[in-house]
Amino acid sequence: MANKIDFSKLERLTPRADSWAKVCARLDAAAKATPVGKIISIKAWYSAIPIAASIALVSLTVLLPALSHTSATETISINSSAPSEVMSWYSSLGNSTSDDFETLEETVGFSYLIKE
Amino acid sequence: MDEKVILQHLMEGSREALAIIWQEHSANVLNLAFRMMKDRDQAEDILMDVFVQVPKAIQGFRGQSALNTWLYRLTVNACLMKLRAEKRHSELEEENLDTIIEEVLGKDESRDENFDAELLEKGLGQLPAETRSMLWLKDAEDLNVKDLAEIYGMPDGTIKARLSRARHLVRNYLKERKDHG
Repeated sequence: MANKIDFSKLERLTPRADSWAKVCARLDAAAKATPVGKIISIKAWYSAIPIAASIALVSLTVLLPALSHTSATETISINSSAPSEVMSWYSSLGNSTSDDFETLEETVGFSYLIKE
Repeated sequence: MDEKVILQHLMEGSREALAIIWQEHSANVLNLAFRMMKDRDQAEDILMDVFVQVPKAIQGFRGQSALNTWLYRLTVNACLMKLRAEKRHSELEEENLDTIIEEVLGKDESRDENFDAELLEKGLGQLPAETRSMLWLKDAEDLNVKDLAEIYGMPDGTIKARLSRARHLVRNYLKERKDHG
């Protein structure tokens, strides 16, 4: 380009002999001053917090409708699920003239509980 | 070694890769810094500052520009920060450049210019640091306008206009000195 200014006569500098050694020394000092582990753990926390919050939010969004759906459909009458022995024992409670305790036979009670 | 391979090693923290870059680019960085700071010791400080920040800064380097362009950008920024801190940046305001009457010198005259180095240094010294470095990178280091636009974050047209005005200012200064000398 004819319009250029000719800088070829100007002195071109070269770095001093010890400059590279000084750069290395400064890098080594900086590396000692800031341990890598600390930086990584801080970075890990910075990324872990939003990820955990996102997962919690998504989980809640999925679980909440499912829970409300379950509670609405699980109203089951005891009449339809309990065996007849249990029902007769339950309806006769308080009708007896005896002072003895009215107890349900153990095996019937247990089988009902296990079934449930 | 391929520049991409060197960059990969540098991103992994290789000191050898940094040494290779130092071998190839440190003189260019130093000369650019010297043109801006006009002081050898400060230029050496800038050179070291730039290379100390390279291992960390390279993590943000996306490889969209050449390595030397990126290094020049770091150097220009480091120099400007230092100059601003020292409040020496207002050696000559940009507005003064706008008042220069263009076409002071004819094109033929510019071809056989034969200025001595000291006078040329003084002529360059008339420019603001940023413009001085721009002219140096264009005319001495042969960077193209697109590279300069990337380094200085300016449109191509602004770079061309500044270069044109800077050349006229330097030539005008040199001619005046010659005429009076």
